[in-house]
Amino acid sequence: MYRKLFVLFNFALVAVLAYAIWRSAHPMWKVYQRTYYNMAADAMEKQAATIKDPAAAAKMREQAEDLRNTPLKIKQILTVFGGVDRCTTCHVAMDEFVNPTMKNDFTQQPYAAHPLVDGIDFNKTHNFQKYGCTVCHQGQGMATTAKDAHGFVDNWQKPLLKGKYIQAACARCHANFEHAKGMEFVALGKKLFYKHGCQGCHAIDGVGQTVTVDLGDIADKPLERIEPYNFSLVRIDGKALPKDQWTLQNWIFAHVASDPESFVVNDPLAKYNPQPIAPTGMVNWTADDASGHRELSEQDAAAITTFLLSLTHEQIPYQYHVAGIGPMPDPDPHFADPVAHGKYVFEKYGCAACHGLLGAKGRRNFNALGPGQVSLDQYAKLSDAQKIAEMAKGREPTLTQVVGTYDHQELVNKISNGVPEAAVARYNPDGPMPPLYMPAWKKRGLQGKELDDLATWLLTIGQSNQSQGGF
Amino acid sequence: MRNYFKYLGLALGIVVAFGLMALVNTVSASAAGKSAAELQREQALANPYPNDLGPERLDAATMKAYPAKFFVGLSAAEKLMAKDDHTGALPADTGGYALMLVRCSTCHSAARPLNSRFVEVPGEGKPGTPAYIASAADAMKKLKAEHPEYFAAENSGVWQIGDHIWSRYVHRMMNKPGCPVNGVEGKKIWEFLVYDGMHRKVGAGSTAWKAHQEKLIDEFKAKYPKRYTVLKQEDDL
Amino acid sequence: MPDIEELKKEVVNSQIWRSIFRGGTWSDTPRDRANHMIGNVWMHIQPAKVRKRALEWTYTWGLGGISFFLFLVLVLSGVLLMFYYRPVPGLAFRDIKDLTYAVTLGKFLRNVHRWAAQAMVLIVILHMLRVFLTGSYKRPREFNWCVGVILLTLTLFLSFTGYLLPWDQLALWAVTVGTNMAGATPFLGNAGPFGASLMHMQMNNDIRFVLLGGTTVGANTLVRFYVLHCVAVPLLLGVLIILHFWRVRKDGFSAAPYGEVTEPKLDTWPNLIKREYIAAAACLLVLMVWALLVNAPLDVIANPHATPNPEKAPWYFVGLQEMLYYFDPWIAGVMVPNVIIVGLMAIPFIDPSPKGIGRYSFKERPFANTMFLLGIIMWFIFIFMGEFCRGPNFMWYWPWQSWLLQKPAPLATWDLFGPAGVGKYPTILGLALIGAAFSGVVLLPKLIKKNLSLVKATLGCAVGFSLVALILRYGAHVPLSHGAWIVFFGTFISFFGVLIPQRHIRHLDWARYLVTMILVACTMGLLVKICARLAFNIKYLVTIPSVFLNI
Repeated sequence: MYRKLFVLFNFALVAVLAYAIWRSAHPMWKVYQRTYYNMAADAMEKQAATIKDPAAAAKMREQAEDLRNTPLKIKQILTVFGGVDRCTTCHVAMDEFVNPTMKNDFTQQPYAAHPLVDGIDFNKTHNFQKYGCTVCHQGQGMATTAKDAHGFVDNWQKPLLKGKYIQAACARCHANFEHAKGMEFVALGKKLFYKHGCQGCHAIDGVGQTVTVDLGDIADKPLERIEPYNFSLVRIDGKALPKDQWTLQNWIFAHVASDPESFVVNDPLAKYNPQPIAPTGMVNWTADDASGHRELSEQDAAAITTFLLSLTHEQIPYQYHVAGIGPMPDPDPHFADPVAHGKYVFEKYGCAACHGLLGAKGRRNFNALGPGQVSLDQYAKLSDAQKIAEMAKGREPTLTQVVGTYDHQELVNKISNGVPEAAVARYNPDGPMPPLYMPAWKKRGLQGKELDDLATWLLTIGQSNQSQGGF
Repeated sequence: MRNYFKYLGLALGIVVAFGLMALVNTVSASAAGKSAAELQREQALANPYPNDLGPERLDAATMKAYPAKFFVGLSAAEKLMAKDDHTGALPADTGGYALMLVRCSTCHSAARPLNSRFVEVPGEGKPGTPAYIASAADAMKKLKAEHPEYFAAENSGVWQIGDHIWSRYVHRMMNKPGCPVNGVEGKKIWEFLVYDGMHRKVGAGSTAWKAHQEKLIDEFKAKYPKRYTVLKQEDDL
Repeated sequence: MPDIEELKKEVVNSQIWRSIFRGGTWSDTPRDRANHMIGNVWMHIQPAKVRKRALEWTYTWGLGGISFFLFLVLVLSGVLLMFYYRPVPGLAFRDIKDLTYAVTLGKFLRNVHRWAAQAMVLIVILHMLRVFLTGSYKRPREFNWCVGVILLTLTLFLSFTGYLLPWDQLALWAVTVGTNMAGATPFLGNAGPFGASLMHMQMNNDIRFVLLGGTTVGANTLVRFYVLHCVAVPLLLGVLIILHFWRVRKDGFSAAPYGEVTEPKLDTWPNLIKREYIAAAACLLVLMVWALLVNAPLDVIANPHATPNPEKAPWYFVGLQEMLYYFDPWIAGVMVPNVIIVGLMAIPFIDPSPKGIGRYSFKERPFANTMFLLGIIMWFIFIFMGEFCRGPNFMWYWPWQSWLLQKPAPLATWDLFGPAGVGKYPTILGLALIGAAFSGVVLLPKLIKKNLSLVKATLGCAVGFSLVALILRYGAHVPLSHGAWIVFFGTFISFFGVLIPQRHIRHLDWARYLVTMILVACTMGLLVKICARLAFNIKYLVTIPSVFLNI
């Protein structure tokens, strides 16, 4: 009996080892490489058929044969940034030693050559053998299987940047991205960021307000800091995200292209914490602005996401930085007209973050007072979801409505002194503290002429009191 | 060998019992509730002003001296006040004082407007017209020339005479979410407040008013010293 | 064609062959079979003849041999891995990735090493269980058992040091948890009882610092653990394995009863050797198939600024991590493992009965089997709880509950005995009561002289605790569900802590009796704390914050 077992196990061991060796010797990248060489050799032979001179044609056919029989091996680029990119193992057409022209007629990946970007041959300005691929495309350069290399796997936090999102990588080195060709999308993102007042709550490397997180290194955010529970609530285009799409890009995009209150819900009814915690105070950019249009379209949201994905603190060697244009930063322009100055100050400090574009519609502030809220004894009878909906009706003041009730000095005082968090009037006194408050701007550097001119401008945008009641 | 299985079964049985026990336990807590009115009152008192410490009603003598139109519908208003109902319907001819009593105490007590230092100098003609605005500005200049003490900085806690100040403040309150006052009611309330300011706080009653206000401020300083300091810093006393 | 047999004879009798392999032509005689064993350096650790009983699979299950075989697999795969791995934080992770993606058979090699390590820990524990159940630690084998316990500890330590080497999130944080427990060592750790106050231990000179080579898990730790994992501990392990095998031989090899008449023996070659070969081959086959089917996990690169939630120790330590929920780190991470190790080593010396050596027997050794099996079962239950029942924030999640489910905040805990304002009742009272209870459990079995009926006594205890629960319910408004915990744990602890020892070891001499009962009482103490926490939300039974002493 043991003799039989002996033979059986020996055979099984050899078989398993042989299988292991066979599997190791037949990875998918070899298939892609071989297919590429065959396709390229076929193309070369076709070309050879059109050549008149028989000697040249024969030479080309010989070259085609050599190409077809190139030994298969892992190709890697040791990038100047200290990484290893093995993308050209499958994407052979982008290896300039195999494909010197860096062009071919193939359209299918991984055989297609690197496309021209706005007519620019990227390899000329960013030689792939030096830069590698992942510095622009992200992904897991060290991997040699497609799924792992593209990075949409559990243990890799920087998967491929697809489509226009890739411009986020451009902006990491190109400080001149606002004026450069091919980076319009990320430049649009930055413009929108400042136009809609995002810097009113989010500083970037200290420039801006400190109501919430500094976005200067948001592209480096570890996914461990995002609760899986919150990710499971994200809906993009009404659909939940599959596990391999739980990426930082989608997380940021969801903040700007859907209602953040729907997935950063925290605990407003104190079910899981001793004190109630309001949901995120982040604006719902998909809601209507004062003129009834959706404030940020999906394209806008993608542009802002791209801009944010470019904000990293990872060190890139200084030789690869491309300087911005002009002195840094742009000094405040000089205004003769106090009203025009005031409008500039409003945008500079990001007041639109809480009070809407040009103060036209106050943004939401959970559990503050807001229009349409039912009285508290009716509130007590509501279901949990309805309670949250009532508290969610809280709003910041709409400046166009209220500035008319102030005179110049009162307005200056109000902006200077602000309304501290504890003093924000709550709708439900037992509910959470509203997440947004009016900062004491005298402590944040808004004073003197800037403050005066801001008040001057604000008084011009307010509706007149006489329109309400005629007194 | 059988013995091992016997004792293994016993051990598993113990584990199952343990698991069942763990499933049994729950503890819950409940919170007490308060009436809505009490909560809102608490909210207002959380950030008090010296005005709040004063009387919540006009005294009888003042009421007799003022025009009767302000006090139309007062009994209906007092009935609503007794029920703590501030949004209930009132007849169309209800006067400014009655309206102020019911509506303005939705969020804070009626003491706040009654003991307020605000005084608005009215103009002539229809409110809101340029003629009215011009005459109001003239009247205020005249008052300042005749009684500079009303405008003195050290009396800022007693009188604050401002251009359209009551109009602005009534509108500001009307803009606050949850305020039940509409334009028509607001105008009546404004008329009352302007009249009240000019007749009780300046002119003949100004000495009594000054004593009353300073007493309120001293009481306030003693009762809410921290808030007093904050308000003093913000120039809001 | 030349005759194969003739050719074979020529080769085997040649000078070259005979110089390497002594013996010449093989004729299947007892002498040749014996010489095959004695004349070969690798084989001669085994005797020339073995008892028939020792050959049965259902006796040893081959566990010791498989442990050693796994060790050899680990050494071989480990050495091969060492060609590709550099223990530097910037390079370690990348080298693992290179092994997985670029090196021929690299993924397979890494998987084999990882799964062999997990298997070795499990097999070594099962081997210890087998040795205990067959009484093979009793005289004259006590010292070998102690060497075995040290081997178990070194195996766990090898696994722990190896865990850090990939330098991913799992590695960094699991080792952080483990070394922070070391920082809680009494006297020698900066966060342990009497460490800072008495011994002037700080973060930069305590035992944790020695382990880490610094104050946090960093580059020094990686190199240190690399050397420990690849050189120091394997050498130590090798030395002790040699000692262990030597002793096995000298003490009469497997299934040797003490003092009985000699039994008939069979030749080692081929009877034992063929079984060893099949065991090794089967083990290797399972290992290789497992390595082909399941990949060794690799988390994202280590990031000291982002802690995953929950962060768990490796599975063999997760039982101790579960203990952390009930005890301070110095108890759960330091005292419990040390008491376990000391307790295991003490077993041969506190068990003087010569019965049941060389065979499985429950009836002859009821006390030993009961208590040891209780300990093993508790160990694996805690591993199960720590591995499958603890989710984000270490809240309790039943294995079928998704970790996406939100859990309400835990209830506030309170301390039973402590200084004013901290504990509900005074510290002195607590120390006195706990001391009395502990000594009570230790001394009670010996003091009850007569034979009790186990069933009646257990029922009596159950009734007694039920009365206590009822009194608490109507006197102190303690809910009945809490009372149920008291009845369950009270009866359980009385049964295993008092009644079983009373029945079996009350006639033991005082020295052995005290050591045994102290170990039993410590084990029961674990259960008391668990009951206190789960039933009553008591965090500490007694707390003295000024010296970090919290029980």
